[in-house]
Parts: sequence; structure tokens; C-alpha cells
Amino acid sequence: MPPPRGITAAKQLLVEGKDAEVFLGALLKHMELTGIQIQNFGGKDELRGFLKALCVASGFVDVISLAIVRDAEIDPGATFQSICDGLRAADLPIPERTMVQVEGRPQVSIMILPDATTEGMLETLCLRSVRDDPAMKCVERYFECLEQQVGSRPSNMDKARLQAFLSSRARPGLLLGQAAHRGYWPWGSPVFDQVKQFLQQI
Amino acid sequence: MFTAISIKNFRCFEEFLIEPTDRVNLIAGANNVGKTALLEAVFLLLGTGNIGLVVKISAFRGVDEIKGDLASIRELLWNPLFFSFDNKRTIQIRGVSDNETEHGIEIQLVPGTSVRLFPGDTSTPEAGDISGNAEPTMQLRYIKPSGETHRVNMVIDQSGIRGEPISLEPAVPGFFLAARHRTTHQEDAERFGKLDVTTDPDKAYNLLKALKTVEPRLKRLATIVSGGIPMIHGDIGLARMIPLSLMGDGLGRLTSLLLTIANASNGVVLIDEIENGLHHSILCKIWQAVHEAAHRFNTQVFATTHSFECVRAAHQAFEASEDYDFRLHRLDRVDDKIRATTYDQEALAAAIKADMEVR
Repeated sequence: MPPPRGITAAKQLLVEGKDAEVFLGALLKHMELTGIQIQNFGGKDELRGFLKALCVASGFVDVISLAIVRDAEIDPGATFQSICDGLRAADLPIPERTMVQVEGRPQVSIMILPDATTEGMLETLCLRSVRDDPAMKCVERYFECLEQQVGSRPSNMDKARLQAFLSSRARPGLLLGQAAHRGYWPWGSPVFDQVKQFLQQI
Repeated sequence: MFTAISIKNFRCFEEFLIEPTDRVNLIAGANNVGKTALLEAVFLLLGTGNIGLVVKISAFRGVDEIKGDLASIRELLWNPLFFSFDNKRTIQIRGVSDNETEHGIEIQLVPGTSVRLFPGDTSTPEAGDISGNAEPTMQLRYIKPSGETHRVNMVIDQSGIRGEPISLEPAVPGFFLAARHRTTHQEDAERFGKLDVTTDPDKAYNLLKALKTVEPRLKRLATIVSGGIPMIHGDIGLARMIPLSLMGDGLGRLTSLLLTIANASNGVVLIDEIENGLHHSILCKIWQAVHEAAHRFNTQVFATTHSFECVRAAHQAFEASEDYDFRLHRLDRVDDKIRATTYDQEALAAAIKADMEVR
């Protein structure tokens, strides 16, 4: 069994799931930002407990900045409120809106993906970044064909589209985060500007 | 049952508070952060003025033999009790109970009430100075919930170590299971006997059922005198009963733990390094048994551990029960002061799931 994790950096980035952990790790590396520890809090229902546990973890007193990233899903407003409820339960500062840090010890900020007003998730953001990739035309035709042949589409189209897109790459079968390390997401795309700005302010 | 304990100027604690405490409390933390010292503080508090406990806690730390001149003995027994070995401070240990009453003890060195005139260590009757040879005394003041106080002095002189006047009877029973000391066969047998002899159904305890969770072959328990020593024996289906101590350290340790808890009804049991001698695979069952016994006898438990597996097993055992009356308290040094961080069920569950360090 690996040894339990501790707090290893004064800046904490809390993310939802392994894909987000690996993706944002790759982006931080690309941006050459150091001193930020990424922690995967699991599913959306686990954030509240994770925040409580983090606040009593050894070394938390030295944390100066806490950033939380979650998928919007179907209601970005409700997602923001849910994060705020978790912060409240852990007695942490609560920002008034996304992308803005609230002062305190630690400073706290929230980012919702793909953005504060649109339903979706990290996959949605990644698909936006490759919208003009020629392979995406094939991806859309694939799902049109699928609907004609099978009579239905997958329940989560963004996840399905992303997997279809990644299957078109030189090395197929990678997950979203692994694809980030492979350079399959164009970091120079303006789609990622907000994410980069958020990471820089942590 | 204590809900909060505060400590000032005792051992490594200059000023310390632990709250809220629950029925079962597990204390974790790095080496030399005060885990054992916290148990010692609670032990002294439970003594309600029994100054002899000062000698006992030294023995738990390995100070078994006390020899030498009076100054050396006082140095050995007294000074280590004080924060930074500063014997001019006053030790204060206070406990708040679940009925919101508070009681406490204070320990300080006071000038002696007698002067040794002759023979003296450094002076002779012919010496020309005017100073005397007053022997210091350790004074323990017990402050009852009513506010009344009771004073006891520990005197160390040529005739030995004594407390005067005699201490009050403790209000509740208290036991300390030190890491380096194991309960003897006789102690276990006596405690087993006290449970066995009662006809009060409220005090009856099925120790066999609890031990079967660790050794399912056990069919019967009995105290048998062997070589003049009373020992608890178990029937595991062999041609004869055998001492529990020969059935592995885990069973012996669990037996001692449960018997101590059962004999401390409405009191407190303090257990240092609870995981010693216990394989990780049985820790959850051990905690279940400890929980049931603590509930059954309304006993509060404070235990220390270095083991993440022990913490996780305790959490799992309490999560599976109806009452999660368990707290993990982690001690840390922050800016040279020792601080307790207490995990509730939700925080501990999340920390364990996320593989966070909790010790």
C-alpha cells in the first residue's frame, strides 16, 4: 500500500477525477508553473468531505491558496452553489463568483468547466479546442451514421465525441489526461485562455 | 465522560486543549509530540489527588528504580513533569465532563514545611551562613467540581517517598495500560473473576463471545491456577484447556484490553500504542470488541497509535456500528506549540478515502 498523501505545497488545486488531475498536471507543466499540488477529490459528492479532511490535514495551516475545478454538468449555477456549500461546511472563505479569488487564509477560487454559464464538462472544453480539426468532421459523420444504423446516440455525447476524436490520433486508445501529456490538445488555442488565467492566479 | 481536557505546563505541553472528546478517542501523531504525555495527564487527573501516580507514570517510562541522594531523586521524579523542566511553573490539568462539570489538578513545588538541620548535604552546624536547608515539597491540589480543594504533599526525605495527607478516593475508576508494560496473568485473572462472580445481570459480560471474534475455536474460559499463578485458560477443542497467553499475542492483548475496560465501568481506560502485538488483519474486530465493551460498561477510552491501519480499522469498525462515538485526534507541533486537530466522521472518512495522512 503506498504511503498516505500529505500536503506538499502551499498552493492546492482540487480537481474532479483522474482525467482532470492528469490533464491539468500536463497544462501546469506546459505553462512551467510550479509549487501547486493537484489533489483529486473524487466525484462531485465527495468534495464536501474532502474539504473537511483537507482542513484538518497536517500542514494545512501553511496553505495560502486553494483552487477548485469542477464540471458544470447540466446546471453550472447549481454546481457553483454546491462547491460553496462544501466550502461553508469546512469553514473556508467563499468567493462571490467563479474565476475570482476571495481573500482569506487560504485564498479560495473556483473554476467551472467548460465555463460558468454553459452546461458541460472538461470534455466539452477539449472538444472546443479541436473544433476545426479535420478529424471532427469524421467524428460527426460517425455519429450520424450510428444514429441511422442503430437508432440512437450515446447518452453523453461529449464523452463519446472525445473518445472518437482520440481514436483518430496516431496513438489511439488514450484517455483525456493521457492525451494531454501526448500533446493532442492545442495549448495555444484561445479556448484554454481562461483555464490558464485561473491557474496563474492560484 | 470527559468532553474536553486542557493541560498547562505539563511535560511537553505549555498550553494545550483537546476537544471535543468522545467515548473512544484515538490519539495519533509523530514521535515525541506528546501522545503518551497526554495519557499521563488524564491519568493524573483521574487520580483526584493521588500523588503516588507521579511515581507510577515515571515507572511507565522505564524509571523502575529510584536510587541516589534526595536531590537526585527529586530531579528524577519531579523536574521532568514540568514544561521545559521549569519547576517554578504550576502544572494545571482540567477536565470538563459531559454533565458540564469541571474538575482539575494543580501541581507545584512549594517550600518545605520542615528544615533538615543535621546531618546536611552541604552544611555543617559550624557553617557561618544563615541559610537553612528547607526541603522542597511537591504539592498536588485537587479542585472538585464544587470548587472545594484537597491538598496532598509528596515528601521525599530520608524515610522515603510519601504522600500526606492521604489522597481522596478517585471519583471514577481509571487504568493506564502502558506500552512497555503488559498486564500480568494475575491481574487479568482477577479482573475476569470480578466479572464472573457478579450475579447482577447489568454487570455480566460475555468475554467469551468477544474473544471468539478473534479465535472462533474458543468454547469456554476458566481461571486455572498453574504453578501458583492464576491464569485464564481457554478450551479450543484440544485434549486440555490452554492459557490464553499461549494462543498468540493478539488474543492475550485483546483479553487484557476488554477486561480492563469492563473493570473501569463509568471510568476511563488509557492505552498506549494500542496496536502493539496486533496483526492488521484483526484490528477491525479488536475495535468492534473495544467499542462494544466501552458501551456496555460506559467506559471512556483514550488510546494512542502510530499505525494508519489502526486508524482505518477503528473508523471502519465504528462506521459499521449504530453509534459513531469515536474521534481521531492528531497532535502536531505548530510554531513550537503542540496542537490537537480532531477529525469527525465525515472528515476522517474523506481523509482515509483520499489516502491523506492522518497520523
